[in-house]
Amino acid sequence: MSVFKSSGIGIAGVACAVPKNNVPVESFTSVFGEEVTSKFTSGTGIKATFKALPEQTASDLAVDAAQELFSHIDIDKSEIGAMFLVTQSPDYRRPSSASIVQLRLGLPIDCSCMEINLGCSGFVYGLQTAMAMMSASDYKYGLLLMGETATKLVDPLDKSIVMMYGDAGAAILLERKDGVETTSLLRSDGSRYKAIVLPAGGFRDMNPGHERFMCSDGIERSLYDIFMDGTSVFSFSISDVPQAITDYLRLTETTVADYNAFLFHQANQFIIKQLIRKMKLPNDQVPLSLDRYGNTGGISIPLTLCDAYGDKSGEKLKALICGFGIGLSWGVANIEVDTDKIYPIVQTEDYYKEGKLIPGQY
Amino acid sequence: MDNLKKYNDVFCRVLNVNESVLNENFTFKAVPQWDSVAHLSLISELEDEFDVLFESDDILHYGSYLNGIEILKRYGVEF
Repeated sequence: MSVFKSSGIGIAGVACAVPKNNVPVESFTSVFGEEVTSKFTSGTGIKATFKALPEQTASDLAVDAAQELFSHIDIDKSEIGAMFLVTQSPDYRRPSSASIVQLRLGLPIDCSCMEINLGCSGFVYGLQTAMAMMSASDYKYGLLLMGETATKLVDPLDKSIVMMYGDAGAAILLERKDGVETTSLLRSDGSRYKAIVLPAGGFRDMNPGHERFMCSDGIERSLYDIFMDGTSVFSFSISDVPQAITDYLRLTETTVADYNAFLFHQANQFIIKQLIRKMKLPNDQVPLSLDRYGNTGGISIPLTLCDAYGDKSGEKLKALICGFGIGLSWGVANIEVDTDKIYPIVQTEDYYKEGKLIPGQY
Repeated sequence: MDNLKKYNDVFCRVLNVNESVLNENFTFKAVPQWDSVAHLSLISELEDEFDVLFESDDILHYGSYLNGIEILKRYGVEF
């Protein structure tokens, strides 16, 4: 079993950013009709999302989240020894966006920077990776950044997911802190990689045609559009995910009563409701953000933290977190964080103008 | 209200159909508007209506109007 333990590393701050462009589900009524949009909202719980501007990238949202974090926490950036950017929406095919983010945030050359290509499980995986790197060194701070703009990869006529995805960025500062113990349970199942897939543009099929074809769910797409096998993903979400949480509680010899918050990937409200009922969780300890932000991939857990606790102070959260999705990939972990260190979500229109490279000018 | 009437009302409301079409041919595969999103709404409303919590396998194999009645019977709902 892939179980990881980290000691003495805590969360020093959490900040999130979303694009200013708010898109209510109702705005799709003119495309799909009122029946489709209202049923989508009643089935998923999603009423609105935030969509990146055409110029805005995932790294822009991650940078804005980091800048918001640094506006609250005054640290010497030369003491950040490692930065990780979790995204599946890089600025370029090469190099990784981690390099651009390092530049924009003014992180030192002595800061190791890398990108982690994961989606909805990315916060749990990223946190464990960052903590493991910190455990193997003596630098003071680690920075976990996340950014996603999945809305750019969806066919605008795909009623199954065009209203579901939202864009966002997150920044989590890690510091050394005595007494903090973190356990992560991480799982992957590559045999189900086709459950959520976007085939075109990778090196298996770089430049295929844009012809549309009928997918197994009866919706037409091209190879450039995200496909999600709803039934398969749903099956995964209500079977493998609760099983992993059950295994985690057994493994850590903890019970629901040992946590005061449960932060789940915001896939849809039905799946979260199922988890609440199956695990017998207190409703008021399972915050939701998907109604106003949609499914923001791996950022949905820190985004929910900022949404639910960003304006609270004086509480100490002992949270169970669970991320699950594309890969398929999923993970469960515990985190401890003071609500004083969780900041309200900011909205942004900023983007990195110099990042648009002009032919002949580089 | 008897349970069959409640059951039919959920299907009619969620899938926007008349009660007259609810028969052995009313299945996930055959009804276009019974997609994965509608399936979530259907299961959610049935759980609320009959105060049950379906097991994962039952949610996944709740593929037809008639099969749903048999599943609900296993949860103690009388038809």
